[in-house]
Amino acid sequence: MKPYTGKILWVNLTDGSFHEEALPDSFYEHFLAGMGLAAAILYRRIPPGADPLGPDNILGFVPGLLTGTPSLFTGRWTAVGKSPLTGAWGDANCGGTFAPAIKQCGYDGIFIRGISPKPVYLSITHHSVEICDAAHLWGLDAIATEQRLWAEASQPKKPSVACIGPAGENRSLIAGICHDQGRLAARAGLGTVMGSKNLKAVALAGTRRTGCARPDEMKALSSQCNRYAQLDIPAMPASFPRLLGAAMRKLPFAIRMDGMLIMALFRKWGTASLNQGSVEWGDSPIKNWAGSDRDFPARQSDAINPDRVLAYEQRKYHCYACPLGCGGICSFEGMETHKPEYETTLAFSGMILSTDLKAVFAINEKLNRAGMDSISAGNTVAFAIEAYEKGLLTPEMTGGLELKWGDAQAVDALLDRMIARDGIGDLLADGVKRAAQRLGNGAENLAVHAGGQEIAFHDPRQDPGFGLHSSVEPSPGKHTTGAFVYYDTFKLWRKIPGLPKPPLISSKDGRYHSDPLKTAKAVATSNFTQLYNAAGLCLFGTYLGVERLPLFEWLNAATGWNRTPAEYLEIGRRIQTLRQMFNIRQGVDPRKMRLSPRAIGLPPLQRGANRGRSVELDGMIHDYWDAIGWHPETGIPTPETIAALDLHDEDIVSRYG
Amino acid sequence: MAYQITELCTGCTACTKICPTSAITGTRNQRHIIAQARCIDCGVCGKVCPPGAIRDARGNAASLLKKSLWPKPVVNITVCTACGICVQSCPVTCLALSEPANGDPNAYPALHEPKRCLACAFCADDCPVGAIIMQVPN
Repeated sequence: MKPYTGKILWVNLTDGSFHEEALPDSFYEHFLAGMGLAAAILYRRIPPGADPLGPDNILGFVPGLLTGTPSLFTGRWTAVGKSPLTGAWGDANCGGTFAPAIKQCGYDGIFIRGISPKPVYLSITHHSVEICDAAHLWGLDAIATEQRLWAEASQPKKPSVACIGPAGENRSLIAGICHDQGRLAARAGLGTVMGSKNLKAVALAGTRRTGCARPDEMKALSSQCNRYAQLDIPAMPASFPRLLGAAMRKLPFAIRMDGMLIMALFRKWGTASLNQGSVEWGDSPIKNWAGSDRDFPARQSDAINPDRVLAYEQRKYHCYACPLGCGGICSFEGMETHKPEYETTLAFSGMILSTDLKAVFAINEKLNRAGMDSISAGNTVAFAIEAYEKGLLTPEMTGGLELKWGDAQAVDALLDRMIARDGIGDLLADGVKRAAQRLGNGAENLAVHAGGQEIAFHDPRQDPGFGLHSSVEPSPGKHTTGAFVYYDTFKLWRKIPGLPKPPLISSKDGRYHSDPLKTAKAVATSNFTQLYNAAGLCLFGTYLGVERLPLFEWLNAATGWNRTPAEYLEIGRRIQTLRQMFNIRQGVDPRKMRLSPRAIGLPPLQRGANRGRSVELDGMIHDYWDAIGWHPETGIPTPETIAALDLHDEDIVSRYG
Repeated sequence: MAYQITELCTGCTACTKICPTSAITGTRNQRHIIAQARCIDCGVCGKVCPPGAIRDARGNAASLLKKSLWPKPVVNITVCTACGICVQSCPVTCLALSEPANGDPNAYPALHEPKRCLACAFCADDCPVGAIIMQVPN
């Protein structure tokens, strides 16, 4: 039995046709599934220069190779397509139950092209594909859409649904795809791609099972892994993360991080555990990246103290196959809502200097329903407040809405307008880069993004790896693609000969320029990230480190192969390089994906945790490109690399088919 | 390879009524057939077939089993990780997460609709940590 289905589904919404495409074993041996499969499919199938919101763009949904096997942390699905926000490779990752549901329909991917003449949704099982009228769903928010599709389902199996809300319908370029009542595949504007296709939802209710080569071995590995995943730090007070963050700020040196600590924090509070600690540490950007922890001191960040968030939690929320359960279902003002993640919380507290936790909950629910990315939206409203403060936005332009630091209610009202593209909301609904271009007069200096995508709330002036990976990633501006701390937590050197083991203690000042250790760490991090994305793993699972997370061993037990960790890492490099080749073919210049100066300390902050720090980003980018096998000046994969990775510039799918 | 119906079939329609994917079709009193594309190998057809006309994917004949003797999933929550694989594996959504209890914030799965359970054991087979056993209810 194989862990992959060997086929993908193609749907053309322009003419309402669909067909299956078989993929041979050799395809999976080269690209695995998930991100690798998506890269191989989209690379050639989206024509160069395709309009991201036109019929030629392809929207794909892919689970991982390990999804559906008896493994842990393997319930992530990825939406892929050409991003309308960046014009480059776009991917957005989400948990819930949609990943196994794709496989239960018998597919390793669902790919959609064309534009439907009217709103539709897809209803798919393992024996049927239907393109259904969505007139009654169009205009509904994402949560209501999902509930309606559950109520209307005729099969005994409850459908798993991915859908868009009003933000995607209104073509906001920062719209995401929603799932399971408020989880989002948020990034890269792929909800807008879905909206441009007049596709409201995809509902999956298949019940076919996924196989694997050695199920008993898989379960033994999972049971062993679970022992580590369940390790707990008893009786951690809510002050612990804050004190830890403050200590890390004050220590004169940096300490190599063990992901088990993060795991324990996430087990108790979820990503909310970062709320205060990250501010104290200097990981959280404050006041549209121009402030510091001094502007949002502990007495203010106490408003988002993890225990205050946890007080609303009714039960833990686990994505499929997750033993950790970092999510939470909360009761807020009489309704159930997902616990706000760290990113959303920081966006609507520290970034706008607000101490209104209830507003964070309300905005979180609003954005989940609208299907709007809270990272991009949070950056955009903070940008708007600063632009208003500097007179670049006027009361006439905002329709009388006064934007000022700390006023979460005004931000709430602004978000309504962005979702509806109403008045000033129309200018802001496409993110900071386009808003700054339309405003002019130096507004671009306030707009923090990489290649057009707003970056998440982890400050490159604290961990420059976030700045590097945001800039070199084929899907720029994402925080889940790499950071120096991730390399520490992956612990790849334990399994892969030749990879460097970082010192337990290192200089803080040494973090800001390029050197061979950092370059090796960054390239290995990228390659491993693509590998676990192809397997369908969650980033948070990787915090166990590869000596406790048996990713390589699961892959061998699931497929029946006998590959080394180094061989698997090379597949990661193949996927990363193919995504870059996608960008080159689309005419994207990698040099223009560089992160905005403000976020890398140009000019440096004058006070706070990251005072005086500037990242020598150009040198890091140059060395990264060179080490991964791309041209060090242009970022274009070299012919030698393309040959070594067996990625000759031709129709890769048919070659392996 | 899916299940098949042999010439022993009397066309009683018991299997068509219970098949969770509507994979079985046929005229009453005539031999029925299983649509290979729809069958998920849950085996419930074999448990309800009076003449024993169902053969599994390996060609073994299934035997009629009184419904009260169908094994049901029992979840050991001291082992369970609340990962929800079993809930998703269930072809008829008879497993669901329960409300948290005893100060544990996790919602563990339980058999919420035992009458719908097909005794297919997908949940137990797919559990990555062996937290589910199939047991005949007392």
